[in-house]
Amino acid sequence: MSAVSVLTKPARARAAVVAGQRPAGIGGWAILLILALFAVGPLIIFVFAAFKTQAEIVENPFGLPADLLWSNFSQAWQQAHMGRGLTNSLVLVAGAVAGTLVIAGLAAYAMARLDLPGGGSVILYLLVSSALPMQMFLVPLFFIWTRTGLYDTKLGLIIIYCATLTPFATLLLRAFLLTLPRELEEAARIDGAGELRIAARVILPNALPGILTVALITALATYNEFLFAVTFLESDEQMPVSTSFFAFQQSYVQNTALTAAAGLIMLVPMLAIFLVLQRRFVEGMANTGMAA
Amino acid sequence: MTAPTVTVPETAPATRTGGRPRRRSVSRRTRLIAWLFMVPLIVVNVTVILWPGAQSVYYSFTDWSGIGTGNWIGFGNYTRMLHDEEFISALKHNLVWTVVSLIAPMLLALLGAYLLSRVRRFQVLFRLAYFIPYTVATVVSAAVWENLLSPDSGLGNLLGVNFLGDQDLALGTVAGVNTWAFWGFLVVIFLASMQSVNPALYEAAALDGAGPFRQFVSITLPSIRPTLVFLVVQTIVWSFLAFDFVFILTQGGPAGATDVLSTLLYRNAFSNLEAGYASAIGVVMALFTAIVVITYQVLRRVRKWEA
Amino acid sequence: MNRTPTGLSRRNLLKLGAGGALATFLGACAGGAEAPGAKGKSGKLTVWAGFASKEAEDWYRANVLEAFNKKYPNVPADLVIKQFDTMAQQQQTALAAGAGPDIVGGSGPAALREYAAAGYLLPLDDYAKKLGWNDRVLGWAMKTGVVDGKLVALPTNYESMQIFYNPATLAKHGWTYPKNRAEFEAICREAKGKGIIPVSAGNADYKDSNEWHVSVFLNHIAGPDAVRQALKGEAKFSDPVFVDAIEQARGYFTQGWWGGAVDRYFTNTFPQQYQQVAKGEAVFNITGTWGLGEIGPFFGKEGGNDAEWAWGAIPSLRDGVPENIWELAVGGTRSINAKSANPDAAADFMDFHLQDPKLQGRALAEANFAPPPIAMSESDFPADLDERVSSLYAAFGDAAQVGYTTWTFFPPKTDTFIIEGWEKLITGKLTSQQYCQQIADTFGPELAAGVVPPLPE
Repeated sequence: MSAVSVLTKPARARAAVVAGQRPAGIGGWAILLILALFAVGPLIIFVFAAFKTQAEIVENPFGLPADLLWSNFSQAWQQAHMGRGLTNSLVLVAGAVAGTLVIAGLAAYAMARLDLPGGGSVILYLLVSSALPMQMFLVPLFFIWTRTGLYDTKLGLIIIYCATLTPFATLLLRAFLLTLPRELEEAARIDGAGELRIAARVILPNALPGILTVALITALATYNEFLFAVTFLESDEQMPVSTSFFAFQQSYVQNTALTAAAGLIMLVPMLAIFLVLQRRFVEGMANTGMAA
Repeated sequence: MTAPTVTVPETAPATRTGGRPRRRSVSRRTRLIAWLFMVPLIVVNVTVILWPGAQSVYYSFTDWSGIGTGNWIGFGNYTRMLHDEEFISALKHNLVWTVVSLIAPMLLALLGAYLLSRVRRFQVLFRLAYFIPYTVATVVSAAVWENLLSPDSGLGNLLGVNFLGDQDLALGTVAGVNTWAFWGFLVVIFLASMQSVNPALYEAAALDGAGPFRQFVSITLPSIRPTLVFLVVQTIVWSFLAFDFVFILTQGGPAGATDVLSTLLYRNAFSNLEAGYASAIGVVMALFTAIVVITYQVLRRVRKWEA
Repeated sequence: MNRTPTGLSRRNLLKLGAGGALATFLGACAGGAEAPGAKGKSGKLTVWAGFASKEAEDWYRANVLEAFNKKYPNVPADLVIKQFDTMAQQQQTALAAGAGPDIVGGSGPAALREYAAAGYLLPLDDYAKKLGWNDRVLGWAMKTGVVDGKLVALPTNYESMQIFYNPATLAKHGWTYPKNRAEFEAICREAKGKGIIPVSAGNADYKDSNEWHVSVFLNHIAGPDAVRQALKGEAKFSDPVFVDAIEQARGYFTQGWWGGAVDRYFTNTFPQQYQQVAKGEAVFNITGTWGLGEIGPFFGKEGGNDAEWAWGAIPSLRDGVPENIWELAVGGTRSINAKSANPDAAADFMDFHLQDPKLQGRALAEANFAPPPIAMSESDFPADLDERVSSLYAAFGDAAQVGYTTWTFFPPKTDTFIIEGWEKLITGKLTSQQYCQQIADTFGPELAAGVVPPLPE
């Protein structure tokens, strides 16, 4: 905390001048930079590794690569079946996000806007069920999934993701919906609009930042999930990128460069989504009760 | 079961012509609709969580090996836990993990978010930088840190320390890697919360001569308290579930120094063929979580926090 | 680019019963084998298999799978590639849910007994008779698949333990390959003094590799006779011969002879261990025959050096323990799922891997698949097979006396404790006396319960 006191003076001086904005000062910027370095530094070394030869990594593990070995990426792309994996991940992410939004959206709407009777215990239940060790569910789930034909299908996996992600998503959306003024739908209701129509036409547009926030969190969780994917999918053709990467990493532990290249490729889609959604995301967080 | 929700919108044209609807009937119908809206959640939750959860509770009272069938042994698994050194040490490690997670990522995130909330330039860039580790898959970040900490070529070599091989350092190291992966998520949420604080409060404080630190303590912290409490609760809950990094980086070693409840559960279920005991561990983990969550709920109600 | 099996895969190979075996871990989800309503694949054997490398997979597809499907076109086999790390868990999950593969892979006695007891596995005695397995599979290996008097599994391959070293390193320091404890310890002491790691070792990639070392210590320090007596219940694992052996071994670890230091043992990876031998940073490496398929790329051109590797027999590490002892191990097993709809086809598939010794010889030479425990003559191995590989198998085959590996001949809970407890021993949380006492305490009930695997004659 002592570092903070360093920036006391300039910050105060400028704060008084620029209304509404409270600059951080040089010390503040320094801390921000150090934190950024802490976050990204290890990954930069990883990025370097992706461009090196294996021998170079052994000799010079942390420095800049001598040449940019772009072929690592094409090699990793091919050998880790990343094209197929990314396509499958896309389907899984889209399915899980859509399913979670619908399920959690309806539930959150019922809790926040329709005064669901017994809502308090529902919240408690959701909190607890978002916090269970999923490892112990594998066998019972497998039992149901093989008997319903959901085993080794993307739909089956999507249902699992929807179920495991909805508790948190519902709580988040509910908190968000609580912040919207009641008058919004009261008027529509008096006009005789049905509940679904009210939800879709009146609440949905206003709740967009919260919805996108949930979408982002769901997408990330689905994209990186591994234990369920590897247990409930069997065919190569179904495997998402997280399991392909793991498979690849296992058989290529020796080759840190290719592993790094594959890891970077895997990172790109999620970064892109975050970049696109980040403004909405922060807005969403700001407007939920979570961030009230 | 799920079909009714689709037909819900076509409700009572009577209200359209009947002028002002009677409040009571609307309310009763709304309640019904409210529960209909819950149906999809209930269906998936019962299938994927409640039913398997109930089965796990049943298994926890058996000596099921994970293979074939088990015998009912009552509370045998639970009493065994009380005397199981591995369980007790794993529980202690979870507590250490919780404490580390409540301090390191929280402080980093509060610091980062507070400073970020004071700047506009490059804010997006920093936000992105902080958030990146959270988007990296665990298998990838584990590989990154294993190389980075290596006692042969990495930081470990530089400092002459074997972070993951030393019994006294391993747990802290793994929790540290988890901190790295996790704190950026907290930054984004804290930042969002901080940005909704009324700027006038800061202006007033600045005019009173309060520096950034005083402003943080007297304005920011109280304003984001609900968020803070919520994240504290979440962090405790997540700390009890800690699994990925331990599993990948140390497999609970060296000599059990990083064993946590969920790795113990996994090992019992799949390596030791003690699925009944593993289920009991899972049930106890769930109970811990429930206690934390209920405490939070009670506090919220007593203190009348929003949301 | 190095595409050989690496640490991660090797460790899993072993534990999950693949051990470098052909097709390693097998399971087949055939049609009606699955639970009602499950995705039907009738008339097909879907085989789960894990491979150490893409090359190994391709080789297997081209040379084994296609040949099998040509020979048995009625119920063709279809490969599903699985990862070693999660395959055992997946298979256990599937079997417990009443579904799962037709051909069940196994790693050793632990899961096999449980699977058999739960009725997951089809007794194979009729197939063994019909297809003549008893005439082809080595007797001791065949016995490891017998549970409660019934044959439930076929061994896929066999393994032993040996030392890898770099002859140039020995020459450089004026050492000769050790024949006994005194010579071995003299080299270790001298090497340690020079800052060289006597034995490269580490379990970072595979925690259970602890038991490789314990198996070596039990057989080469305490001696195979003592182990055999203890396994039969005629002696106790808490007897002085074991306590002394473990104390001696503990000393090897705490002096830093194994892996350089105790803490390093926990972070050393397999590739690192081979590299250390290649670079002369370590003198020896103790591993199993599966290492034959891994060590190559770290030496010579591929490894970016001009080093050579060689193997040697693990010396007797106590006076009175004979030389030339080779540990016996089965690397993996195949069984037929009791719910298989195509058990005959599954049996044919298992049989196919035992039919052609020449094919197995080529598998070893071209893709580093460890040979199955069938009688093979020299002419079965192709001429271009690395002489070091063939001579190792030959030496193992001529063993004067065999030792007993923990993963093949010890009952499951004892085996688990041996692995877990070892880390506590070397970190000072258990004394040698306590470690041995706890092995004995775990073993006793398992012996009484009759779950100790059968020993070779």
